[in-house]
Amino acid sequence: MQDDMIFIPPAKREVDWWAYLFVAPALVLLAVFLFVPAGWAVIDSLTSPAEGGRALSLAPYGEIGTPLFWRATLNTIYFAGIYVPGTLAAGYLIARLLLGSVRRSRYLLLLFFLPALIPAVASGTAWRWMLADNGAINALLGAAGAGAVGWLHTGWLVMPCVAAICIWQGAGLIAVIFLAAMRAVPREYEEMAELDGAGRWRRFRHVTMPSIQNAGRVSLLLLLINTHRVFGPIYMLTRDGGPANYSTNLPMLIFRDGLEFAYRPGNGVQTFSAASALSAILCFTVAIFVVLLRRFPLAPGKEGEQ
Amino acid sequence: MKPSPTPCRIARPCRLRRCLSALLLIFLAAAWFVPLYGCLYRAAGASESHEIDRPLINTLLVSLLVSGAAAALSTLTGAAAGYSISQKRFFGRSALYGALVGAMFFPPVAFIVPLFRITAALGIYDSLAALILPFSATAFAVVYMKVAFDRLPRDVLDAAKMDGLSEAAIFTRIAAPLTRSHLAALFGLQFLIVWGALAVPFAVVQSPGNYTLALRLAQAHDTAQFIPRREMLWLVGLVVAPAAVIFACKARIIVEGVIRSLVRHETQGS
Repeated sequence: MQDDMIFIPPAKREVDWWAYLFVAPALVLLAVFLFVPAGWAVIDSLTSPAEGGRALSLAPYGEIGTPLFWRATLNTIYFAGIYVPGTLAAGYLIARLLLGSVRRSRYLLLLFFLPALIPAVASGTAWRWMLADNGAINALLGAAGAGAVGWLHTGWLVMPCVAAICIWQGAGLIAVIFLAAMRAVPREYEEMAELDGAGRWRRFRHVTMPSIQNAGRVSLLLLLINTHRVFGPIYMLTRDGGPANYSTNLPMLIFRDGLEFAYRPGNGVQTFSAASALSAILCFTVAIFVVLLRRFPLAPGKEGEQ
Repeated sequence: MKPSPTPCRIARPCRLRRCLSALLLIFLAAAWFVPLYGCLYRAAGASESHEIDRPLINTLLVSLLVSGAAAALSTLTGAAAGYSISQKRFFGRSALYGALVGAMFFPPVAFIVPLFRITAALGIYDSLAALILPFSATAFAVVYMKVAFDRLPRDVLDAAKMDGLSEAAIFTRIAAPLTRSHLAALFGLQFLIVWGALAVPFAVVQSPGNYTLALRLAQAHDTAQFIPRREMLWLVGLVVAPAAVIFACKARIIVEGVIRSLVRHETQGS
C-alpha cells in the first residue's frame, strides 16, 4: 500500500488540536457540572455507608421500591395514558386543519407552538388560578348551573389536569412534525384515492397513515421521553404532588427526596443515595427511549439509517 | 364521453369542510389562549393591593444577569463545541456527541442532587455563580449548533482553508457569521431556559436575595394560596415577557432548530 505512487494516503492522520481546543470550554464546564457530578451520584447510588467509609452495595436500589415509588410509577402510567394519545390527537388535528392553507398555517402553527416556550412556572400559575375552587373554570361551570369541581383536591382529577397543561404545551411541536410529514406527500395522492372512491376511513388508513407513520413514531417517542420529564406543571399545580401523592411522579419524588430532605441534618446520606438511585433509574428509562428515537430519522420517503 | 360529475362531487364537500375546519381552527386557536383568560379573570377579581417593592426589582436584575450571562456563555461554548463536532474529526467525537444527545433529554430534576453537592463542594452554593455556571455549557446548545453547522455548505469552509485562513479565523469570520440567525435563536432559547428554570435554581440557591423571578413566583404560590396578590400578576407577566419577545423575533427559526436538534434528520450524520 505504502509503495503505491499514485494514491498518497493521508499520511498518519495528524492530531487536530484545534478540534479539541474548540470542544474544550464546553467540555470542561460540562464535566464539572454534569458528567462528574452525575458519575459521583451513580457511585453514591451504588454504595452504602459502612464502617470506615462506604461499601459497594445495591442497597439504595433495594430501598427505593417503596409503596411511594410504585405509586409514582402508577401515576406516570396514568399520566402517559392521557398525555400521549391526547397530544398525538391534538397535534394531528392541528396539522390536519392547517394542511389546507399555507397562508393560514404560517402564523397559526407558530402560535400553537408558543406554549412550549412559556416557562411552566408562569403558565402553571395561570392554570392553577383557573383550576382553583374559585377560579375561572368553576365560575364558568357555576354560570352553566353545574356545581364547583375540586380540580386540585380530587385525587383522580389532578393528573388529567396536569396532562391537559402538558398537551397544551406539547401539541404545537407534534403538529409541526406531522405537518412537515403531510406536506411531503403530494396532495394528488389523496385526491386520486378519493376519485377512486375510497371512503374517508380508507383514505386515512391507506394514504395518510403510511405517509405520517414515521412522524407518528418519532412523536410517540418524544412524548414518552417527555412523560418522564414533567415536573414544573405538577409543582406549580400541587406543590408537593398531592393530594395524597395522587400527582407524584418520579421527578417529583426525586425533588422531594433529594432537596427538601437534604436540608435536614443527619438525614442527608441515605436520602442522597435514594434520590441518586431514583435519578439513575429515571435517566436509564429516558435513555432507552432516546436510543430508540435516534434510530428513526425524520425525513419520510427515502430509507433512513444513515 | 359524458362530462364526469366528479369535480363537483369533490368540490362541494370541500367548501363545507373548509368552513368547518376554519371554525374549528379559530376555536382551537382561541382555546390556546385559555391561561391568558385565567390571568385576566384573576386580575379583574380584585386582589389585595401590594406595592411593588424594591426586592422585586432586585429579583428582576438577578434574573436578567443570570439568564443573560448563562445564555451568552452557553451560546459561545455551544457554538465552538458544535463547530468542532460538526466539522472536525477527533478521537471520541461520536461518543461525545452520543453522550450529549442523551444528556439533552435527561430530566433536569435528575441532576439536582449532583448539582447541589458540586456547588457545595466548590464553595459557590447559594451564589449567582451557582446559578450561572451549571447553565453555561449545555448539551442542548452543543447539539443545536452541531446541527446548524452540519448544514453549512462544506465548500465554503474548504475554500477558506485553501485561502490560508487560520482555524480560528475560519470559525469567527466564516462559520459563525453564516450561522448568525441560529446563534441568535439559541441565545434566545437558552435565555428562556434559564429564565424559567425551576428545579436547578431550587437546588443551588437558598437565600431570597439570590432568587430568580421564576423561583420567586414558585415560592409566592404557596404563601399566597389561591388568592394572588398583585405582585404575582407582575411576576407572571415578567416571566412570560421575554418568551413573547423572543418568540415574536425568532419563532420560525426556533421551531425549526428545536425539531432538528431533538430528532435526527436523514441528511444529518450520526
